[in-house]
Amino acid sequence: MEKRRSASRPEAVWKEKDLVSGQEEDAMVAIFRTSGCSWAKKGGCTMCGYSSASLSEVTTEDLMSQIDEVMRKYGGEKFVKIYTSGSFLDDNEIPPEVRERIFSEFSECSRILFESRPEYVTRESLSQVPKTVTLALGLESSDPDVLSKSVRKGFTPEDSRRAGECAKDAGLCVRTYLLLKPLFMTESDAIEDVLRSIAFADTFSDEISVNPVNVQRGTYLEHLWRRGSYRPPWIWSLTEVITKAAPVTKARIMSSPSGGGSQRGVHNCGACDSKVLDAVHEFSITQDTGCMDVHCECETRWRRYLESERMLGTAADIDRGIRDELMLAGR
Amino acid sequence: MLDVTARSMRGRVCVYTRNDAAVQTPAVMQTCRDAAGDMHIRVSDSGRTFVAMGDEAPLDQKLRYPAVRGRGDVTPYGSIAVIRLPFEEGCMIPEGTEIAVIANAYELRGDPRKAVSQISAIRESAGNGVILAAPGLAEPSTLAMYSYMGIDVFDDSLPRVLGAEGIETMSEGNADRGIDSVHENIAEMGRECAKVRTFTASGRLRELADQRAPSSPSSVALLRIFDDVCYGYQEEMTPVTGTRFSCNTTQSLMRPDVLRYRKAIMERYEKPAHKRVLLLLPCSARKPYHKSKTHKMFSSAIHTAGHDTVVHEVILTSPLGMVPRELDVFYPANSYDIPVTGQWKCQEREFIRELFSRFLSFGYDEVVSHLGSSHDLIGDMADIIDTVVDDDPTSQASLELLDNTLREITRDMPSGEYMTDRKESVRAVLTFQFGKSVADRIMDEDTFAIGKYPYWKIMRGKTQLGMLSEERGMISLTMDGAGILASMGINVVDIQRFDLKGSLFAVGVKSADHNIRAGDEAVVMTEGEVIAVGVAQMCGKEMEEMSRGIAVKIRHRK
Repeated sequence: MEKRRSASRPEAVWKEKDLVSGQEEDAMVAIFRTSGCSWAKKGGCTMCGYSSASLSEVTTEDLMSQIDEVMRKYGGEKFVKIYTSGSFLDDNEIPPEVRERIFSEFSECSRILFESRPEYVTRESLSQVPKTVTLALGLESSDPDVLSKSVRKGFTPEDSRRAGECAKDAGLCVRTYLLLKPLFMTESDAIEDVLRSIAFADTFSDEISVNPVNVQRGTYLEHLWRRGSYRPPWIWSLTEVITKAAPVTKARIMSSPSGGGSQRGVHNCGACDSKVLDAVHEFSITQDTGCMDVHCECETRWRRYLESERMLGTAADIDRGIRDELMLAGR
Repeated sequence: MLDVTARSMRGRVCVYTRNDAAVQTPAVMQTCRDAAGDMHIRVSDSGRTFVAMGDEAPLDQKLRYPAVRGRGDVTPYGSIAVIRLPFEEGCMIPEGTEIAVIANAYELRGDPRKAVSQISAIRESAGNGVILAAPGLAEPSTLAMYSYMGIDVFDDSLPRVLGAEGIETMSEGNADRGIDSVHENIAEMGRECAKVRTFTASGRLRELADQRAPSSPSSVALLRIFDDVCYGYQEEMTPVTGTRFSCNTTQSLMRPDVLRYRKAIMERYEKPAHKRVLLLLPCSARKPYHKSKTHKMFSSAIHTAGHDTVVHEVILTSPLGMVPRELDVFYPANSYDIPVTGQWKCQEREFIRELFSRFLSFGYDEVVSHLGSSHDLIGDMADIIDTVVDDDPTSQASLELLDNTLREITRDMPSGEYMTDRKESVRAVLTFQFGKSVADRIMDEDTFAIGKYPYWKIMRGKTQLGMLSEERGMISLTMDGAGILASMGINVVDIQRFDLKGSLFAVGVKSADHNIRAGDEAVVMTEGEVIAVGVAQMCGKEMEEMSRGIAVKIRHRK
């Protein structure tokens, strides 16, 4: 069903639970329609389908009326997350007067989170934001090759580090996003890459959010996924990352996967997916690796999958490659 | 160091020596964490390492672009080149490469079109002096086909991975057993590899490939596409002589040797000028046809009067279409087998009609069909006199009718000279073998042929130029005959000046006519002088590429 999209209304607003100073609190998520991510206009990242949440012409008046609607739905939640599908600190997306209004509307909040590409994070831009802000940075990977060739991010890990340190200097919180299994990586290489990236991000992050890649519509990733050249990560790879990283990381580690348990998202055998994802959610709140003690028969299949990738030297979807064919039922 | 010990079209058996160790190909390498063997792939957490007689090359990079993405590369590690697909225009196998390893060959599985184009492109670029290894590509049901396409070295990674998933891989197809089948699969891979070697050594690898193709839809597609888009690639390595083979599948109708024959008849062959009656005959199981009982019976009905010189006997058959009598000792007419049931596939019907119309275009006064049931294939294409009674070409009534019909229709035709008949028939044979310009140059006014078919000798005065024989299956040239080819620059192998004793080895070849095929007549020259003539043991391009092996078996020398 195609919704009519209007520049004067927000893309979506919903309520969820999230952490404020280690306590689970009510949170509101508001996704604004903006003119879109500056990088998406130059081709964007390989896995990103959010350019569809943007419109070419969004005026300041439009944004103001989007805020009006958000405020009508706002119920005094302590934590407000503001997403623009781009960079909140990009003046072309969110003009300064809009930003000012948002900050004043939510001046009573304990925590305001927004995202920005590092090029818009400067001492000057951060001097305008309240101390309750958490800056979310899409580092994705600390490996420059992965970032440029696989994600096509358009900036380097060092750019994110600088932005993160800049936010810390300004007394803000930093949440860093990492990708689990971007394009062209085997499952095991992807696990190693996230573990290295967590160590890299730990020095300037309060929270590290591990985002397993999901297959979004209209992306290059989707094209490769359709022809069997990509498989979204196993949930076991996510739990492996969490259990290995948690004991050696200062920052909070969290993950709330999009599309978890579906063919397009992080998934296991299907039988255990929701159970294991619940454990990941539980851990994200409690930081207790004890809650990750979940198991399923498909763990051995996952280990076999990692080894098969190594033996065949491929990042393609091996399961699909070998099950797609007609064969004799020998059992 | 590479020795090719047997060839079967693009398939081959080699002995590859390096660091004092030797590996015979086709070979199946071990791929696992504790892999062993002169050639193997060691698997570790950080990726695979190809090991050849102690020398190593890493196969995996951090980012593994899919084989479909336009960013392939070739990385040399000494004489080992590691290829990441796609292998596209601009990709080169470096000079000095002995082994080329296709690191992401697994991704060609299930993409037959890509597999065909990539494997042929890599082999063409690498040449025949390079061992081509494709880890992750083959399983027992496809090993023969990939070997036939030009891969030398395989590994057991795919059978292992499939076995671990509970899938048993057999040469005839795969079965989901639901229990670990790794050991069975590795053993089957080894057995299939041994079969491939045996079929290759017999010169019959194509038949094994024909048998394996129906094991899965993608395998059928693989061979079909390979035949469709890689005819030239296959034909170059297809000898013009060979052993007996059978065409038991539809796809085998497109074998490169069979297709080459049909093309040569369509494009190069011309009927002997004096032949005025086209007589269509059915094929026989016995080869060459003229040795068969049925053809001896036909012969007794045809050769009963002087008119036989104007009758052109042409055998209608599948998979070759039409075989003129004077070519029935040639390969593949002397070597094929096919099930004869009176049922014809549409492809067979199509090429037989195409070739028949080519013969009609030569312009005969009369067309006589002594075919029997297969007459229906072409009966509508011309005014044809049918001489078969009750569908039995060998019955007394049919043979008598054939005899009488030929006498009848040739009554007013001038009865030809036997000398002219032989000379023009030899000209047709030479045209088929070497082309029209060579045929006319050899069969000039002073040249004639003597002897009884198929042992026709070509004489210029008292000098013999060559001879057709059943054993050779074509015309063999004398030094004088070879001189004529040399003067036209045809089938010439140019060598350094040295004392040629025994066979000519590839290492001594400076350049060779790229139109030479294994089995062809080859004229050995040095500094513009013909020094020998013999039989090519490899194609002209290979003679230039290889540093080992016999290039020409010498028959006559200066």
